Amino acid sequence: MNGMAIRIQGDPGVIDEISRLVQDSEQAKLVRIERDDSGGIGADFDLETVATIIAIVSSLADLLFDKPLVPGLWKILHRHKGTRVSIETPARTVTIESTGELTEESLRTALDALLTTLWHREYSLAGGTRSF
Amino acid sequence: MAPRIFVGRWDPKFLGVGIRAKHPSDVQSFRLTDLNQKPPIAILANLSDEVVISDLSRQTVLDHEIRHFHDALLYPFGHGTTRMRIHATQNGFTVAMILRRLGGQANALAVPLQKWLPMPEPQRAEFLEEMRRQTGREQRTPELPVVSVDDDVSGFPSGPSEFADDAEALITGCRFALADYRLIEDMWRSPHRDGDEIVAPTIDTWEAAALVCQLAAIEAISNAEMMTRFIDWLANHGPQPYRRGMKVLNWCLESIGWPPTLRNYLAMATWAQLGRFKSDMRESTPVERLVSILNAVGKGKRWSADSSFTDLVRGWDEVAECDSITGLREASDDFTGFLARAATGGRLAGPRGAELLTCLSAAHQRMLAAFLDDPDSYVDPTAYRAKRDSYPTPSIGISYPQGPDAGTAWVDVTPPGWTPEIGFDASLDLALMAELADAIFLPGEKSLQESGRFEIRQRLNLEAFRIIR
Repeated sequence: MNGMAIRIQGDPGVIDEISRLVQDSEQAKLVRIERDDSGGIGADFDLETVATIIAIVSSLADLLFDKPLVPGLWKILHRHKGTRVSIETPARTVTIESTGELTEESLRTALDALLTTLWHREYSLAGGTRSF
Repeated sequence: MAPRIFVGRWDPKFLGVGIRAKHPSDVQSFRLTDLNQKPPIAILANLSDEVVISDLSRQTVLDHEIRHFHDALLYPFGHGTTRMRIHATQNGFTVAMILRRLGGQANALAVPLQKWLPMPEPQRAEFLEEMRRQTGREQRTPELPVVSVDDDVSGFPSGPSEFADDAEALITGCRFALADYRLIEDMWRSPHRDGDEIVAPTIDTWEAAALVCQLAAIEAISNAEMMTRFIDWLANHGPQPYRRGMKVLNWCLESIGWPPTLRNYLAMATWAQLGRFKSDMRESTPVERLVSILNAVGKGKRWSADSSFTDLVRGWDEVAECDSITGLREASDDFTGFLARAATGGRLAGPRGAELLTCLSAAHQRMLAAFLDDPDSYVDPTAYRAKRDSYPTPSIGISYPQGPDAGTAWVDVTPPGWTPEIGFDASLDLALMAELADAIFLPGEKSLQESGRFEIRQRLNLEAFRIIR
């Protein structure tokens, strides 16, 4: 699949569930899942272990908004209160914390920031065929 | 869900103790935490693991991090990683400043340069085309050469280099910074031959030693039962470096027939970390040194747990065929010489560069003297805790992201009454340079702070596009 690589990071249990969501999507191809326990160039006293999904998406807009990813993602986050997930495109990172106030709509708004940077000009040029 | 704690971060870009917070409110919370207060045991006993572990971690995070600070000042490994971090920061920052000066037609920067520089031209063009397709505008990156992943810079003379023009300085700066970052990562993972499996990276012993000091602090502020609960939680849920580090030490203690006391863990971890890390990089790693003990055990060799640390060093050095204390002194001379040369030549950028290096040298000298004066206290976590005033005091800084479209904020939260050997402001100068250098060169969430794109946009006027692979 051609397209753009994205990275999703979070608690390993949450990432496992999100990976199934990505695998079920026709808009994305899961490249790999990894656990980062290395200190890189330093050492953390951090009790959280982080897992990462690398996926290729053909169209981020379609993945996030035309398909049932957002409702699925919201259900996962809703089940794991307090968890944090970051979704990164080459141009931007959005971090979502699952609080009691997180709704499907607020999740959609948060994810919209990923598109605002990447698609704003493209969709302006396209004559407003989509509006975000 | 993992317990929520203040995340300690030992990275010599900040030459004190760094705490990574998620929200500005954590600063106030940290300041209000009375580190001398003992948590009410009767209440803790009835709370969930998540709450108990969070509470004990918050209360003892400095005990963990301060041990890293001391170990870094003492061990040759600490000198090596600190020195390379200073090199990487200076070289990476210089590259950033040249990029800003050259300006030109560039409007974007593909990061990290660790991935961009080795990327062949056709792949670079493909990446930029994808970004153009996604953003609807042309992305013009600065002209940078393709640099091989295993670029050899050993032909350059050591020490500072001067360049007549920016173009040459940019290319060489990129090569130097890549090599610096590569060496730092290699040291943390354990220098090894290609194809070798890394059983226990250097970071494991590094973390295990600080964890033992933290466990002693937990026992001191609560009781042995709470400490055991913390250990059990870590053994089942803790990050891999802690679990692997403690497993390796456990295995060694069992093999030599020693009881698993905190002192015995720390004595073994301390000796394991006294490797010289000069020409004999691989033999200097903790795991290789511990293997030499295990090999001797296999041949029937034994040592008494009641021996002084000086005697243990003598006995273990004999089987490892090294002289740890002489190595420590030689490494100290090298490190002190480097810091003096760098400070005198005004080589480190920033208004307080020379001051920082001079203070670091003084802190190192004090640490070495304190250790050599009483090595037994350094390997006994209870005595070490009681004697902390004999060792250098760090400044404490909390950093937190101000949002994806803003930078990282740093706040001085050094407790009142502490007199740090290396001041917060001088430490912060280096950290701020490192943040820009890291944003340009390093991949990954852990090493590239959330505000990396902001740093590049704000300070270089370039839009950063991260290569995700």
